[in-house]
Amino acid sequence: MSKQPLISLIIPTHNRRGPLLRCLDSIAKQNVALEQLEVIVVADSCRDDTETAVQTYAATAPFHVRLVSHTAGSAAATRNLGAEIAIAPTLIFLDDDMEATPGLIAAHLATLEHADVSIGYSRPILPVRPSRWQRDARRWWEDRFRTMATPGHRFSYEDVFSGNLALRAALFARLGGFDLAFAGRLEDYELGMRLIAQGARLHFSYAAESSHHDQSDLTTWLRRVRMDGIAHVMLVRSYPQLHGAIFGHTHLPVGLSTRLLRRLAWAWPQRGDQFLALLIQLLHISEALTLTLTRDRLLRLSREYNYWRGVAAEIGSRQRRAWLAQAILPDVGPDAIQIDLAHLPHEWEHILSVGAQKGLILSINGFVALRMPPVPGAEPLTLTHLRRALLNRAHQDILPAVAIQIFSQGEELCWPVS
Amino acid sequence: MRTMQPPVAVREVHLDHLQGDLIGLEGYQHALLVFRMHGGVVGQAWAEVHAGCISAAVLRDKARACAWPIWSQMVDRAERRPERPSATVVVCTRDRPDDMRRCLPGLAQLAAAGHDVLVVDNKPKSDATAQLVRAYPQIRYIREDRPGLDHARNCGLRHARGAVVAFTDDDAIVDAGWLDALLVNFDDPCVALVTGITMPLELETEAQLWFETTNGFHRGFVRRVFDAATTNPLGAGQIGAGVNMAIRRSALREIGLFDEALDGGSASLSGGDQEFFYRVLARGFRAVYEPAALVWHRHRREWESLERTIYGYGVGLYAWWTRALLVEQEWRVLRLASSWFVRWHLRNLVRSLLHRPNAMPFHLAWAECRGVFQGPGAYLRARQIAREAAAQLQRVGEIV
Repeated sequence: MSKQPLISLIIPTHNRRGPLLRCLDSIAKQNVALEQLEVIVVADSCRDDTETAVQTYAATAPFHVRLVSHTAGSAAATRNLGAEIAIAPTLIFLDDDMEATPGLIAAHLATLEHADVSIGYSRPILPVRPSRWQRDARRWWEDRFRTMATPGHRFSYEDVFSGNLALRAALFARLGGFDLAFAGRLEDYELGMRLIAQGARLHFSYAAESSHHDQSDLTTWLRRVRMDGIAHVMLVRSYPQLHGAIFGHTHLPVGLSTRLLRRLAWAWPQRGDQFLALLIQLLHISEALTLTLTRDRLLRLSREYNYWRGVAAEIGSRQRRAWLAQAILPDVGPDAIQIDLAHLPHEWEHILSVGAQKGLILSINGFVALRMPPVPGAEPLTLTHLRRALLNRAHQDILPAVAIQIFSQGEELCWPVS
Repeated sequence: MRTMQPPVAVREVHLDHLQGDLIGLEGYQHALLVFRMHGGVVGQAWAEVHAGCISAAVLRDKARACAWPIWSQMVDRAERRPERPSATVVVCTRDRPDDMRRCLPGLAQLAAAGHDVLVVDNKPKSDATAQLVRAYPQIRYIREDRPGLDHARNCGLRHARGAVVAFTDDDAIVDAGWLDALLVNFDDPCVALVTGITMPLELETEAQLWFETTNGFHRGFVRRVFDAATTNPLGAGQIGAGVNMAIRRSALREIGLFDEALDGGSASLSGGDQEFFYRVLARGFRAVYEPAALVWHRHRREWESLERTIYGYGVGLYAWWTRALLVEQEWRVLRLASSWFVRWHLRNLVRSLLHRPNAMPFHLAWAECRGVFQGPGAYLRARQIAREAAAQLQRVGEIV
């Protein structure tokens, strides 16, 4: 091992020896020159002999393996430690329950030619007899990736996913790594905020594919939802511009049961937790009886309760009113920029950057086709984003506008109208 | 409009280049216009024929209703990505060489375009089909000796090479852009099933006309996406039919194969496709109805064979609902089946007894009703037979 490696692949791990070895095996099959690669395994509080297994593996591995251990109990700190000791100019973060396809590293490198951050695809792999929850989760993940892959998608802080992520080491060092205050949850989003603020270009790649053997279930998910609540409050404290976007929807009208559960989470958390246990029992019963609608409703309520339980724990019930009163959903303000697509202005870029701040109203001959409120934490607005947004709304809102446009110009339609 | 009498002409009208009157309709009093644009089907209309001709003004007038599907399909096209998965086309047939002769040229075109095409001959009495297929060396021929449409479909799935398996029937003719329009929709990894639009090949007899105007196969002219969050899997019939469908092979690990105790050739007579659609949704996958994927289907010409088909629909529906209850523990079936019986079958029977306008002919309503009561028993019998056949196969396998 004489040459300087080009890629540092960082695998944080915690008590997952089997999956980790599978992950290492998949890296051995990469279609790039493996001598350019250093693999850094960072073991965090492992009690299952992970270290011994990795050392044994390293002895015969076709790439250079470095192993460090610590007891931080935090994925963020573990990734940071890996990045600190890495010597290559490019970092790839890969979770220990991932299995890379042979083209993963090459695809990340290709993406980094024209982008600053490469978000890889993680195909959810379900167990042989998946629960309904696991199937729903798969759909959620796949939709998330598909949205990112759609041309013209406007990336935001929520798109950053550190399970399969590549970026330049210099950029990561400049940002100072993951914020340790967020240890455990949503540190990806927090990093995303700083990446966007730095003007980093985010890109998603299906080719950088790994299989994600996710073992989470309903219980772990509910626990994470509670931590999401806590992390969201912390995120708003660090980035007040997100306040409205994250909590603004609280003011929208909701059903009685949702209102009661939120109230319970704020005012009587002990009673609430007992009630949650009951809800989960009912949820299992309704699932066994294939009462799908009831089950979906109970799932929504449990999620709602757990999320607000997290929020309440972080804010404290006394601060509730003041906190929520400040959260105003971003909207198209009275000073929003109005653009008529029938009479396009020339200086696009300036108009878009102002419009992204104050909100944008797109109209066709005076008929409003699309209202775009400002999106905090999203990358700068471009024409391709506008095209995407128009396409998204095309099924509902835009046909009348287009029809009026065509009629007003007296043009022949592509289909016959007498 | 006067009451329509068969024969009714079926004609395509291309809106991309709409020119002049539609002529050559001598002998017809009515026509079914199928409007097409950019390859997709964007609408249909019934029109009167005067002196063997439909005037351009009438065509333009009727085409107005297509505005929304045209727009909707235009938007869908703008979002399409260029990649397509590899595909195998499977046609299951049984002793219908005349139908096969009509079907094969369209398949040969797909084979010439480099797709894998497979004809599954299901326990044939003669080698007529085999001989027909021999004329097309690029089409594969496979014989499945266990009788039953679902046996044949499973055989097709097992021998397929493509990532997606598209099915059509021997009594259908595929449109040139059919396969591509189906494949486009597999860009969403959650989509395991895509169905297309099925229009009548001819409406020459009373039975065909009745079937098209009351049952028909088409599900509208706008693309639709179904999943368990928005559609009750037990109402999977609205997604489409087995005559025009494509399945992602990798999803079969979770969904399973077609149930061999269902559909043509078994005691259950039909329902195999619907039951499969049910499992697609129930296992958390999506299904898409794509109106740009067109096949033309020749409906049953005689009332007798139509009556058998309708009877089969009654049996098949309640057979697969029985399966959903017994195998999948879908308790909701009980409520759905009883309410559907009252609101559909019983109502049809009463309306035809009272000679209400547009009521189903009594013999058909009665046939469907009889089918309903046969359904559960038929499924249990068919299941027993399928099990014995599987056991026998295993024994043969052990001996061999």
